[in-house]
Amino acid sequence: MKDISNKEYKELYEQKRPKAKLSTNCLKAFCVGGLICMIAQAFNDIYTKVLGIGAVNAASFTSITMIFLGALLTGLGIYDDIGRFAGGGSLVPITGFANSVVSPALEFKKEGLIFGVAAKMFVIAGPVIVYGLSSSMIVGFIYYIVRMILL
Amino acid sequence: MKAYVMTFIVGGIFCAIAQILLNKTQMKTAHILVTYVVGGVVLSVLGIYEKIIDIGYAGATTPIIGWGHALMQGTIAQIEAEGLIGVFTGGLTAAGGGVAAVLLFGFIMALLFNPKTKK
Amino acid sequence: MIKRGMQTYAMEKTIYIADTYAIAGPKEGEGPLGKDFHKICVDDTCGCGSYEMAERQLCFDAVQAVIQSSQVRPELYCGGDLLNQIISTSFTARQIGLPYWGVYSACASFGQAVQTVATAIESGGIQSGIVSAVSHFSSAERQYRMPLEYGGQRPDWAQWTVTGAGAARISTEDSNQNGVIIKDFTIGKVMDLEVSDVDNMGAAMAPAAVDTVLQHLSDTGRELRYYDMVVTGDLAVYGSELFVELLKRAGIEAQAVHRDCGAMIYDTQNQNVYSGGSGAGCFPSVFCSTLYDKLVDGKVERMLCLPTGALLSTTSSQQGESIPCIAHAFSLEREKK
Repeated sequence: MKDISNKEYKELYEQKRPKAKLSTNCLKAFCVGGLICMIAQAFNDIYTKVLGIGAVNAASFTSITMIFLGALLTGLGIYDDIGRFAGGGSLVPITGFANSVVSPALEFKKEGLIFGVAAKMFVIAGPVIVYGLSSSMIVGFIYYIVRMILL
Repeated sequence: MKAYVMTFIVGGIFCAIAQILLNKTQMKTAHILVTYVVGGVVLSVLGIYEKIIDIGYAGATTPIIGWGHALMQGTIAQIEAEGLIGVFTGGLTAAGGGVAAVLLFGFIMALLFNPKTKK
Repeated sequence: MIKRGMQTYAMEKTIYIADTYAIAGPKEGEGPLGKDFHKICVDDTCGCGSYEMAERQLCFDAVQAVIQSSQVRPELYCGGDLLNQIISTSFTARQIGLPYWGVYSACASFGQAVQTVATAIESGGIQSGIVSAVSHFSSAERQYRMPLEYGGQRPDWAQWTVTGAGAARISTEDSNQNGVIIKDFTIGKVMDLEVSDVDNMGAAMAPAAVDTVLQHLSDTGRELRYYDMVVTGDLAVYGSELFVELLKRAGIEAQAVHRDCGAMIYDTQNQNVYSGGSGAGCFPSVFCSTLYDKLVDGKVERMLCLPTGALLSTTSSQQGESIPCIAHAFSLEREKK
């Protein structure tokens, strides 16, 4: 097995590898993702127009509702099938965030409520919170300095 | 009705971009989610994301990139109102509801359900 | 034991694979080999409280079956699995109470176990021993990949961990008159052609299988067509193409005699398993049922078995290391009457 270099082998296996069906995958992701957002829009309309909640709070309630749905579908064992079908379509909406928190919480239940459920809950979603909050604080600090100089 | 069409299109586009990144680059899901959130923060402070929401409604707020925007808008609002401390308190004031909710729902679901094997 | 060439050892005694037992999960049971397994679990939890315990139960049931079919008590138990610190096999050993050697070569553990027990018999130390290997989809998924309920996509060249176990009794006595002899074996070398994508195990492992085949042929002076069947462990459909292609480049035509357990165990078109099966239980569950039956029935006279294993850990792959792989070969023949 000395007659093939690592580089030659990489070319060989990449050429033999089944091609990802990009257009079909994108279409699935587009449709499922769009549909999830439309459901969110429907809840938002119900909260603002029917229940008369203010825009800011209605947005929060909408997020929380979508997170609940994502969590419930994960618990019922449906969200992983949606994810396998839709890929990015169910990953990017906030329901996917809920899925990434709830799935390890379920998975590690056997290790107990403290070391399992609670400790493992953010193994996948942790980076999103860390980078989201950190970046908003860093950018916020820059915003604060710039605002001080300009005013 | 227009709001729903635009929601579908804008939300769909954010998801399709994620799909392209998944299939065409070495990025894993965590990389994509982090990129989206940080991207949301940056677009928000530049005032661009506000315009995207005007076009896309829930199609722009539901994807995780909208959560970055909510974080940033909360931070800005608190800085305006409270000064420097707003840098630290603003993010979770605006976007903390989602984190708190996911914690609670995650815990409840873990009590109610067990993971099932894939088919 | 006589050393042949660099890495191959020929048996001086007549060592039989006297009996085998294979258990598979429900999905494997619905596959093309479903009728061959000795037992198919209706429920992949096997009635246990966790998937780790279910995996242990599969292993225990298979091992227990080959122990019970023996008139004399085996003197050694040797096996391995994929869970950290090979708990499935070690906890099985705790239950059966035989002298125990745990081995680890990832999905090639069965091959290493066969070689270990054959060596122990050749040394004159023991007369018979048990080998086993096991894996479970759901326990492997949580250890190596994502939680079961996580909604992610995997590429088409990914593989599906087999829920299944196989155990065999290796002995100087052929109690069932099955007539399957271990002729010789080749200890594999670790090969790493710098494949680092953990979803691309077939491509990572194919060079290791090719290396061991070429070494085996050069050590024994045989040609590939000496064998009626050359069986790799878990390269799956896509890895098998690479295996055949790499051998072709070395001037050997393998397409006609090559089979892969990962490609055989599932209907890869319709069972949603991507490229095919993988896992420590993939080779043993197919070998201990379908393949062993072919040898016993005389449909295959000479077989070269090549369980393949990827020797990575989640830590090594997260730190960006490529995947070192191994294949251990053993050749089987029907006894000439």
